[in-house]
Amino acid sequence: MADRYAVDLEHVTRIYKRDEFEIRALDDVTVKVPEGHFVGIMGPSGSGKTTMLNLIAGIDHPTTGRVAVGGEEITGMKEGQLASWRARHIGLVFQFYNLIPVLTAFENVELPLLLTALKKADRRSHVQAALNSVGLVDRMNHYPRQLSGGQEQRVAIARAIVTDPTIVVADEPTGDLDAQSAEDILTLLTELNRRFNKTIVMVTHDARAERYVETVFRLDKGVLAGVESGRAPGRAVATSR
Amino acid sequence: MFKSLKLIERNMRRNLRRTVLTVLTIAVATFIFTILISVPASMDRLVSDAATSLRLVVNNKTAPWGGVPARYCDEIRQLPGAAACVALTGWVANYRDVSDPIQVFAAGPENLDVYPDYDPTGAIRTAATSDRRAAYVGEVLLKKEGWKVGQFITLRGADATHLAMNFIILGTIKAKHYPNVFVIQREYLMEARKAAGFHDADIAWFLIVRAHGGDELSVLAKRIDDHFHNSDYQTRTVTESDALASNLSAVGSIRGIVVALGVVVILTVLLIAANSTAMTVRERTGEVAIMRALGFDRETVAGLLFGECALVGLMGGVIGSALAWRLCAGGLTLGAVLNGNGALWVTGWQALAALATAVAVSVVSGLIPIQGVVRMPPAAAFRNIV
Repeated sequence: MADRYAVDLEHVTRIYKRDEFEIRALDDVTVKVPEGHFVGIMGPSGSGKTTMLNLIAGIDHPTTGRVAVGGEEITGMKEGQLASWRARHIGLVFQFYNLIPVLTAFENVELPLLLTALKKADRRSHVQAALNSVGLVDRMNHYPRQLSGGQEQRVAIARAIVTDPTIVVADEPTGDLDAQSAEDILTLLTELNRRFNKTIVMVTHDARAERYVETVFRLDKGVLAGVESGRAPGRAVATSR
Repeated sequence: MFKSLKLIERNMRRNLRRTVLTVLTIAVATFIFTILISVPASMDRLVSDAATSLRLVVNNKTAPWGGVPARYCDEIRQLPGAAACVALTGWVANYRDVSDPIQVFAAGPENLDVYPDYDPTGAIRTAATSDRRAAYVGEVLLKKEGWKVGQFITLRGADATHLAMNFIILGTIKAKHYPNVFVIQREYLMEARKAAGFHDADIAWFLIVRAHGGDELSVLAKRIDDHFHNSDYQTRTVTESDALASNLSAVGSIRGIVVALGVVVILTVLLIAANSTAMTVRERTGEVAIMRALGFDRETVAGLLFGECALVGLMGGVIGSALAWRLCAGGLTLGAVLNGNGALWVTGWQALAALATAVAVSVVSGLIPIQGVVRMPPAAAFRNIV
């Protein structure tokens, strides 16, 4: 039986216009990621990694081509539809954590749940479960400034998973962390992938990440330069066709 | 909703100094704006209050500042339709502050026949006849100077007489007309002027006549003017409201000035608030992008930012308008300006209107920066901040 794809990019091109220049950030990229996979997107700076991630997360539109996530095509969605779709299907993790500084860890994690119909008590139990899964339930009343970088990133991961999204996208989640914290975050993402069968797409420069992901997509100058198996024990390999 | 308010409140505390300064700016502007919008309304109030009165003002026709003989009142009282007449002589005097003169009017006891609303119980008449130094004072002026009934005070003439006269305050005028007025016995003033070498005892600034009924006002005015036609002092008689309106227009286009100042105040606070909002929004570009990326729609994010603007405007507006209202709700005397008729009242509605303007201006100040940031696609916002 064919895998159902969590991510399905077909001939996707993204061109940015900067003044009089056209920048072809992605050029005819086709990628398929089966559900439950932990994949990495790697490549040098300017290779189109973040652009690809933004397209998967529905926070950017392709110039041409088709993007489907969780079996749902998002290419033609309007901004309002995309926002609501993101709330239901996407968990986001960023390099610089991007927590709201005036909210506590609990409140930051609760933020995406405010878009749902959950009652306060249900929201609380969801947030506690998410913080528990990243090992920070004891710091839930702390503000971001009271947490270390690794802890902030773990809160960001809890925020990304609290709505039980179809897919978690992580943009350089270890880029601002020391080696030990980076290992901890990669381990945590792997656990989430294995325990909850959560599809994770991670952009990274970090060579250590290869040990954790099942598939690596290598981009170079906006073109898919290769698809490699990661060193993590994998299942069906993601493909470029 | 509660969560939104909580987030707005926390964001406002993020840069507390800036928030406090913006709130204070809006508070000061709202205070000024509240006072400004009360000026034309206070003028209208004076005129409209006078329009319901049955009083006529008799001036010198050929030389408005030349005065009218006080004895004319004896003849006017005999004319059909005239109920009472009083001769008023003005005296500009200082109490303690020479820069804030008081407009005093000297009148005989018949003043209370012309202005029966000054003394509904008859207490002032009884008190006034008991002592020639008796004075009765509008309650706005009384409050401003901190006087009490029964208090002795000395006023010094700010005119050529430089008279120093002692008075005893024996009554308060509760009537809404002329809350600024200070009335003394005319005989007392004229004797003092005579002693100082001013022999003008028979000349009053103007006469006030009360008619029997509203229908008779214009007829009586014509009758008075006809009666004194070709006399030494020809008269020009107008209704009290016309006299006041003419008096108020004599100080220039107050309305025009007030509107111009109001526009300047609003534009100034708009630019200050817009600058503050622009800085706030620029700092929040990343957070707005995060919220949008998490799935919050543009309207919700814009609502949070506009809510912050509105709350800042509300706080500043409440402080400014409440202060203006507290200061002027009971009327604020403008001293001798406008012949002592000048008083400002700030009503609750005016304070509310100023408060609503403060909130609206604050929200409008956020339009451009907030629209700019919420319309920016999250991906573009991330590129901008990284």
